[in-house]
Amino acid sequence: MNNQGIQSYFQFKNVNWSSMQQATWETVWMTAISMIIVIFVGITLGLILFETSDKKGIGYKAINWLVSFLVNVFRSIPFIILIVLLLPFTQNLVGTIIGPKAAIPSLVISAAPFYARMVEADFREIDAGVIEAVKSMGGTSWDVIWKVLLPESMPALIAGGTVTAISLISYTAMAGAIGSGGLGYLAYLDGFQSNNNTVTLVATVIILLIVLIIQFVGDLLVKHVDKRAL
Amino acid sequence: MIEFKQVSKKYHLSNSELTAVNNVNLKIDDGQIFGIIGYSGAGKSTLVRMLNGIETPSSGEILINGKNILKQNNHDLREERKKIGMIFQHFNLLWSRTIIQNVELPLEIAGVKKEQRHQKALNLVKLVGLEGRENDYPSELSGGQKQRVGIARALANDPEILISDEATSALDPQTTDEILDLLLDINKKLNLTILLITHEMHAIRKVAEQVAVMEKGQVVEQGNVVNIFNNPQKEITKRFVNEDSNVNADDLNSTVNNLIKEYPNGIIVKLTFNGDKAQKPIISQLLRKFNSVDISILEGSIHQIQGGSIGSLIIHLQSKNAEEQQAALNYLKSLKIETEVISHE
Repeated sequence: MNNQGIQSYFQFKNVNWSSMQQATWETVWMTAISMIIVIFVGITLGLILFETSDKKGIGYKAINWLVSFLVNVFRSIPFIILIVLLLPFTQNLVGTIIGPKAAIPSLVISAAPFYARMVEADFREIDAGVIEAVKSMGGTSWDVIWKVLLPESMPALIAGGTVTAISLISYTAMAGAIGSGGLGYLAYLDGFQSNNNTVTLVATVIILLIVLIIQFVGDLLVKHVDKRAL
Repeated sequence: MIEFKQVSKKYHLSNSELTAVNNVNLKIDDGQIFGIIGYSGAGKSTLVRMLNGIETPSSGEILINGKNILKQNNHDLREERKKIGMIFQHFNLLWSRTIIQNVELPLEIAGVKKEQRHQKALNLVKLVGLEGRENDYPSELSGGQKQRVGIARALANDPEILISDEATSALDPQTTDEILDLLLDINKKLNLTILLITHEMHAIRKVAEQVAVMEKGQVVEQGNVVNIFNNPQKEITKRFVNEDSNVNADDLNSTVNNLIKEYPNGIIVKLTFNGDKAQKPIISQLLRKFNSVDISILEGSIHQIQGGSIGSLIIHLQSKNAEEQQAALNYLKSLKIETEVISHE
């Protein structure tokens, strides 16, 4: 095959559109499921980090140290190494190491600590006076979390979520290297290994579109919930 | 009745100890507006935060209607806090909620049903004069309006005590007066005890009946506002009182110095009148009585305070006849007017 020139990008007859559609769906599915889990885990970890910092008790300090340590470790490992490292764990958890389902544990373990740090920083941005006001009304710690921390940091949480979702997309593409399915896998297998540059280009454009849509929706949501400046 | 008994608060810093509140004793009657004045760092905010248990004292007792608020578990303490409203310098509203939702917040925390809390919040928004703005967000309001929301929110749980922590310090003078009028109005309507923390004597003068002056964690002077105003004892109290009166100290000093040079025989007297004495024609009586005495007025002012008015007059009094000059001064003193000879040679 003569697929080395620029024109090799535009051999659309070589594209298997049904497998492209299948791969797009797998990417969206992997990202969406991981993102939902990342939001829950990330906010929970961020909350633990926020609530246990600057506290005096030895218990708080121990929890803070442990969570902080785990977050730092998993945030530091390059994703491509993490996914290989977690293979046995994935095998035990989901019963397979191939396909979109198998990618989810490593996607979550990589992205959740990243999001947790952002969530912690967002909570720190909240005016301490507002928290004091709620405490002075007789509010419990739960009241502070549900009525102050989460709603008052919502625009920042959504903006951070958007950034995290976009990095998840690129992680799913990387996961393609070990056979996760999705657009990254397709670009690697049908594009690179089969010397079919058009498939790689189409996969790239679709990924780009997904990223743009996520960013657009994220910005729209932030604008909608941010009532600070009207 | 709120009682602070030998209350101290010490903070342990890395290698020193900071005494924020030092052995404070205060009694505050129900329904009173009690002012606490001091410069920043004097310990006044720490003191009132011990009243609702946000800070805990290192030693001493705090009693509300005879009940020691420190000897309560967390749950009871939170219940107690619902009876103490608080407003803040920077309002501390939730920007993510509308006005009405902000006012409903304490009621949500107290577990009041939705219908009931909405109705109550509507009434409170009306009480503070923000009818029609219920569904706006705090960012759409001016500073004074935000503080009105703060007040409505603080009143939501029908508190017995309202703590105002520098609530007017971020506002312009006119808005300050409006908010102070509102506090006074609420105090009368609801018979609410108000603790007014401020560094502005103006606010104390306008609404408070009793005042405590704090410096370096201690209450250095306290009593009836009228008395403190007429007769400040401590240096810091005099400073607060002077800051409030319009006298420009530098201008006055140079005028006084010139007059001393020009009339070496004269004396300069500061008279402080209060109540009905402010309305008596004291100066003209004095002039009629002592023919050889000349008087020039250097500065005069009058202030409205809770329960009366205070006037002050600085005069230069001179006579060729030294005896008559002394007699005139004695006459002023005999009228039971606060008479202070500023300087004479």
